[in-house]
This record gives sequence, C-alpha cells and structure tokens, in this order.
Amino acid sequence: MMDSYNAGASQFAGGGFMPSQGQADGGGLNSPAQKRAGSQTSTLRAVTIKQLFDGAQNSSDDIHMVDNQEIQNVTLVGKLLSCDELSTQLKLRLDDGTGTAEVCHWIDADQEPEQLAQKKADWRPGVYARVHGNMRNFENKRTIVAFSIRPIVDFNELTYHLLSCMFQHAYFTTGSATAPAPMGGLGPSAQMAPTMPQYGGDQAGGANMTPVQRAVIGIFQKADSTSSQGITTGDLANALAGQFSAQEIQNAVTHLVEEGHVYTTIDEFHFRFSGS
Amino acid sequence: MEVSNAKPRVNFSQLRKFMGKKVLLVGEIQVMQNNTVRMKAADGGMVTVELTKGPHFDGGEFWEFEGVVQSPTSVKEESRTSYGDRFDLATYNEVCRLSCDKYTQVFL
Repeated sequence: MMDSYNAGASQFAGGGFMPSQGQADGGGLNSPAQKRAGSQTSTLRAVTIKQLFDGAQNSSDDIHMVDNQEIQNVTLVGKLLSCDELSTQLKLRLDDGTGTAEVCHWIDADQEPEQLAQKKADWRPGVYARVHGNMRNFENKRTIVAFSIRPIVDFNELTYHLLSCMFQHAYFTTGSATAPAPMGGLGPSAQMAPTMPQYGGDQAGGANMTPVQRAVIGIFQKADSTSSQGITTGDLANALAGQFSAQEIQNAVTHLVEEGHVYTTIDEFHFRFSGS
Repeated sequence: MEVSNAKPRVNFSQLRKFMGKKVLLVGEIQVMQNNTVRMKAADGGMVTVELTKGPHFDGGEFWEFEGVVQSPTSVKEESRTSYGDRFDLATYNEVCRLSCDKYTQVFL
C-alpha cells in the first residue's frame, strides 16, 4: 500500500518480523484507488485512545478511521500501566486518561540482550511515554504496533500532544479556510485525494494565489481525470475568455509550473495538474 | 481498547462538575502537612489533596494526582506522577478548559 513508508518502517519494526504491507497485500493486487489513498494515510495523526475507540466503529479489518479520515501512523502520549515480555514482542498497556489500549512492540531477533533490557527498564509501569506506531488488527483486537516508545522528559510535551489532538480533530471535522472540508462517506476516494487538506505549503487554490492563478488551477483540477495529454494555454484562454488576458493566463501557468502545481506533458504547451 | 475508565483533566473550577468521580489533577505543590498537600491547580485555585501513598515528593514541584473528587476543593489520591520542575501550568489550563468543554468528544 505504501512502499515509501515500509522502507522506513523496517528500520524500526525489526525487519523480517512484520511482513511489509506490500507483501501482505499480494503486491499489485490493490486497485489504483487504494494505492492513491495510501499516500494520504501515511501522514501522522496525534490521537487519543478515545478517538481510536470511536473510529473503530467506522473501521474495517485493514482500514482504521479517525474523524472520518483513514489513518495508519498515529502518535499518543500516555502512562504505561504494564510491560510484559513475550517470546517475540513486548506487550504494553497504555493509559492516556481517555482510555487504555494495548501496545505491541516487536523484538528484533538481532537485537542485543542489553538493548532489550534497556527498553524494559525504560518502559516500566508509571512512566509517561510518547508512542509512535500504526494500527493493526491482531486476533480481532485493535492494537497499536509501536516502532518507537520514548519516555517523556519534559511534560510540556504532554500539553502539546493534547492540544495537537484537538487541533487536528477540529481541522478534519470543521474544515479550514484553504481546504474544503472532507466530504462525507467512508474512505477517501481517488477523486478526493488531490483536494484533501495537507498541512503547510502553498496549497492549490490557496489564499496565497492571485485570482487568475486560482481560476487556472480550478480548470486543471476539473480537467485532470478526463485528459491524458493535459490542456494547452489555448484551452485555458478559451475557457477564461473575457475574464483574463492571454498574457495573464500565460504568467499564471508559468507560476504554477514553478510551484509544482502543474507540469508539462507531451510538449511545452500541454500541462497537467500534479495533484497538490 | 477500553474507554469506560476515562479520567477528565481538570483545574480547580472544574472539580465541582466531577464530584465522586475519578479525575487527573495537575498542579504545583505549595504546602505539605500531615497527610495532605495544598496544591495550586492549573487555573490558580488551591486544592487539598488527601495523600494515600505517603509523604514523599522527590522530582520537582509539579505533580499529577489521579484521584476521586471529595468536595469542590479536595481530592483523594489514588496515584501520583511527577511532572518535574519545569511545567507551563497556564498552557495546561487551556487543555483542561478545552478538553472538558468544546472538544470533550476527543477525550470523554
């Protein structure tokens, strides 16, 4: 599903233990729509256990939802209640004040015994920790598979995390000024993906654009799925006739190319929307 | 995953809303006497915490108590965690305010 992510995950998850997502899915069996969704879900969400619990009602076996958004990578901050060593994993319970959840950390077969001992010493009950991981279904139980568990040293990080949870929840449930609120329904579709909100940057149709740039990119967004060669500046001039001059449109296209919103296709006169 | 044991993060003024319930109270310890501590909560209000785990407070002035609200000004300890000696109570107060009000669905 997310090849770029798996490359990174193998460093944390102790390569070999977890089949990579790509193998588990049988390689190319996924539809392009699912692949497209992958690039969106590989973002990192700050969440509470309550949010994961609520989202479970909308989730299927492989797809985990929070705020009607598909999620994969999550970060939580909470107190460790227990840490048990099994043959292949450390099994922990985390309490973040909103609930408790099971956290699993795979033990790397190549790991030195001292490293494991260090982890068990660091992750003792009562310690507050920042957990990075992703959601998995194990034996019909939703589990956080952690690739990083780090004890909290400065507790302002806890304050920061809780505020992040609220900010991101508000961002996805109430929308924002520059990005349309996510549409209803479960699972982001391929069509939706290009307009999904992203943090930072000069967004397509964003507030930093001039009216002519916004008008031009609007045409690119609509045209994208129907035209493989892309559209020409002549097409744009026709569509926007009477609103902007050919020179204004040309300047806007040049700007959009420089910013990476559109790119040239078969020649320097045909352009396509890059999807961001 | 289990959410039936959620504990709200409260300041002084919110204690009255959770009488008899378990809460997380974070503040700065001011005075310790007998088996209680006087603590400044995130909004500046003073709360009395009845200790059940002994009078030992190594690791800074800022502490989190998990406990049951006995009255609008007192909490009985069930467990405690040190938050060290550098903690921004004013910003944490915003967490208390927002998490028990506007964004309660994220927490409770």
